[in-house]
Amino acid sequence: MKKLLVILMVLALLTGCNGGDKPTKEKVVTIQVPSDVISMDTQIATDGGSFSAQDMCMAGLMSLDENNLPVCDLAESYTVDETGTVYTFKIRENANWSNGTPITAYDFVYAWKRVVNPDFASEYNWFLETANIVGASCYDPDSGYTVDDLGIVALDAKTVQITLTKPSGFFLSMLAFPTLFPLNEEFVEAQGDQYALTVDNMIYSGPWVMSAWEANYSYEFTINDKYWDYANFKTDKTPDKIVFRVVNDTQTALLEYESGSLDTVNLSGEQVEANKDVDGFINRLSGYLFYLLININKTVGPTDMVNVNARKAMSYAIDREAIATVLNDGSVAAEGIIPFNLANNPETGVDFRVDNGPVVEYNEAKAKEYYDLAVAELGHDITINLIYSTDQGDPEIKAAEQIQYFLEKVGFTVVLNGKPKNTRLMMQRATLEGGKAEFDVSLTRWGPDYGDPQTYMDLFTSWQSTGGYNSTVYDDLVLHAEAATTDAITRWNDFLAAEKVLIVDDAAVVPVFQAGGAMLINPKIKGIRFHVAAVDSYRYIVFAD
Amino acid sequence: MKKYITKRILISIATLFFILLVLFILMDLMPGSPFNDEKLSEAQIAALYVKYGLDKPVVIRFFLYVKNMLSGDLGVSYAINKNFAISQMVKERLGISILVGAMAMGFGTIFGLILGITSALKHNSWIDNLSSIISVIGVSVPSYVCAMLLAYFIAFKLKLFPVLYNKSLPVFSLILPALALSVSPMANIARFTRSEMIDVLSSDYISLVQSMGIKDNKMIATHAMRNTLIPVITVMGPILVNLLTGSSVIEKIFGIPGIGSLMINGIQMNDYNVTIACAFVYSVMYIIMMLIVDILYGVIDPRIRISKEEK
Repeated sequence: MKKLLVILMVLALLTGCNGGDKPTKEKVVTIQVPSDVISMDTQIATDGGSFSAQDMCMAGLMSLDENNLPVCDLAESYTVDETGTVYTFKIRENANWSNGTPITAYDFVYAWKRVVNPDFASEYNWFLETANIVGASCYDPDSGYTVDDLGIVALDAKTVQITLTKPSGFFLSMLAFPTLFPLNEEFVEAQGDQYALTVDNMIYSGPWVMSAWEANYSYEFTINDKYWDYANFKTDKTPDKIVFRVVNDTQTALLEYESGSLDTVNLSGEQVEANKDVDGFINRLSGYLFYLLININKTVGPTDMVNVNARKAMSYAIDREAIATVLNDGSVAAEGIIPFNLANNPETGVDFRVDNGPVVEYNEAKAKEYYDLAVAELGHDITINLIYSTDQGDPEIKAAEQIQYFLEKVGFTVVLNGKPKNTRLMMQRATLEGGKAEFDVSLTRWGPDYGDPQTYMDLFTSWQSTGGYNSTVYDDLVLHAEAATTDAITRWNDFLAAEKVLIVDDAAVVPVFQAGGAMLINPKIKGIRFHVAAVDSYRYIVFAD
Repeated sequence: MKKYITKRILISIATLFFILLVLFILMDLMPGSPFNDEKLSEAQIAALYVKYGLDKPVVIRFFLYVKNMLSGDLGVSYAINKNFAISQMVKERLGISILVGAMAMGFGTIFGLILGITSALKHNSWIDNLSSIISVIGVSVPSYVCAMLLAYFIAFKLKLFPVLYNKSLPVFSLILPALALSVSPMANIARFTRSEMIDVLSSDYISLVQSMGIKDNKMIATHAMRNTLIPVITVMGPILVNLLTGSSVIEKIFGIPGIGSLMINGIQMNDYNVTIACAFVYSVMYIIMMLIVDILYGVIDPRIRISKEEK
């Protein structure tokens, strides 16, 4: 009896093993992701992982090519009027939803009005305002606009017209962002509050359809034969299925990559050093720029940060290269508040970072000089209360320790005050309420929403600054740059000058490093597009020759 | 007995309500907000609080929650899987955690009993010493170390089992995580069984049984084991609840979508409903387990049953 039981168990295990294999060999690409999709609703999601998943199976008027430039996707063509503010898009005749219904101009009107509707309370409703669309601030009841004022109108079923408040160099790129993708009103309304919660509650406009989604485990995509460009997408190099597998542990993920069951893996810490000569290693710069936000208008406790020399001393004291070396995860030293690869000069095509050159410098002697000046002016030594996130997996902890080391080298006393990210953000927000936040400096970060310096520059205007920076020179430059009448190159030059005012003259923020993202990608696949200022796109993955 | 159980169940329900209230108050005191995007303005956050009903006072939210809970609605997630029904999220993940926990309990109990009984029977021999060493290692080495070792040697090097949890082979792919989780309960059960068994074996009635010429095997199985098991069951209850409610570290290493990581995520992301639901499920399981342990006592030990019935 016992023997029989053992035999049965072994048989069960063996048949179990075979059960996993498919009878015909499917061509599958498996991408490692550290966390699950948070929402498949293009207007509820706020995180990169969800947006990337949406980019697989949803499409907008535009998409981004390998060089980050907007190209027509669902739009067949477009025209811009002479004021540069009225865009008319012709939607492709063969653009259809995955259930066969045509994608129309009404789908865009419905979607855009949904996201700015105050009752919907989307966390990304500000996105349309940033895109300079007329009436987009209607999500704010005090704006004087209503949803009906939104500058989008369907001229006919396949023609949509969008009106901007002023010409915008990055408007077309923003159309490649999922928040501005269309939604089919009839379908979405029929699903009610279940829309986009499961694969059965969605229809798709993009090149793939989501074929499975198991919470915190994996989500999968198969090709969408209703996509307008299906003929070009479906080749013998196209995978049958693209699977995103949630693997949170970097060690496990690397083992799985090495054993061949994952085709990409994100590396962290010492894994970067150990794998940098491995075939398939890449280090893609992310758009996240980490900087020290200075609580200039603090009103409680010591208020030394109001002293510009103290701030300059901080900026000179920090050896950013050394910090990037310690982080050892592909991060690079920041040279300004605008990250590398974000935006290019409209005339010469040169990267903003190259165009403006480094606006920060590591110089211990100068740091000491400014520190002594500050101490003389303030009449006492300077102690800095530095807050930073202690959430697992974030580079802030290591970076904060390094910052403390460099600042103390020139004379500062630094109190490290680690907080969960939630709490740190709450403390930062408190600076807006009359400077009551009890910290001097916060190590924080900003990820760009679109490929233009404005996404960073707006942060430090007097009407938006969380640190309380208030400079009329800076404000005027930004206002001038963003004025409707300013041409593209003047605007660009305004931003170049504004960055110098912000950092060189006033040291109002101290840029530290731009986050990296080292990873291994199976050399057998290609086509993943990483964008500093937009969603990483996996929809073009194919097998290499 | 019936009266006793009814009374216990009523007390349990009252306890659960109290726990729920405490959880609500704790959530309210927790710093931060479920809406953590750096890009949100105060006004937008206020609008989101209104949308999810978080603007209401904690007492009102508590009663609304209880009312909805009684109809099986645990609310929706604000941050982890936005707008997903939490009852569904918990149900899916609890199933996997229970499976891996039960497997771990199975391994732990079997190996623990074998180890404990053998060392008690071979008291003060090298077998006893060896099993003591194993027990000490088992208690002191954290489960994630075992997990990493198993993942590397058994899965990656020998390729006997997969590293990652595989939904189409649930039991097979959960063997390694269950083994990793079972090390500590195994050691605990072994130590407990050993000391109890030694006590029992040196008691008068065992000497009596032996003097009656009853064979060793029968003596152990019917007389010694029964008395040994009573205290062992006491420790097994809480161990089992611990195992069933998931281990976020083991889940992370083996990529298991269980309830342990859900609760940790809920706390980190201030997803109040998720945290409350997970903590509540944990409490329910704990209380039920205590109840079962109590009833089991009666089944195993007639003395307890009789004394309760007399009351």
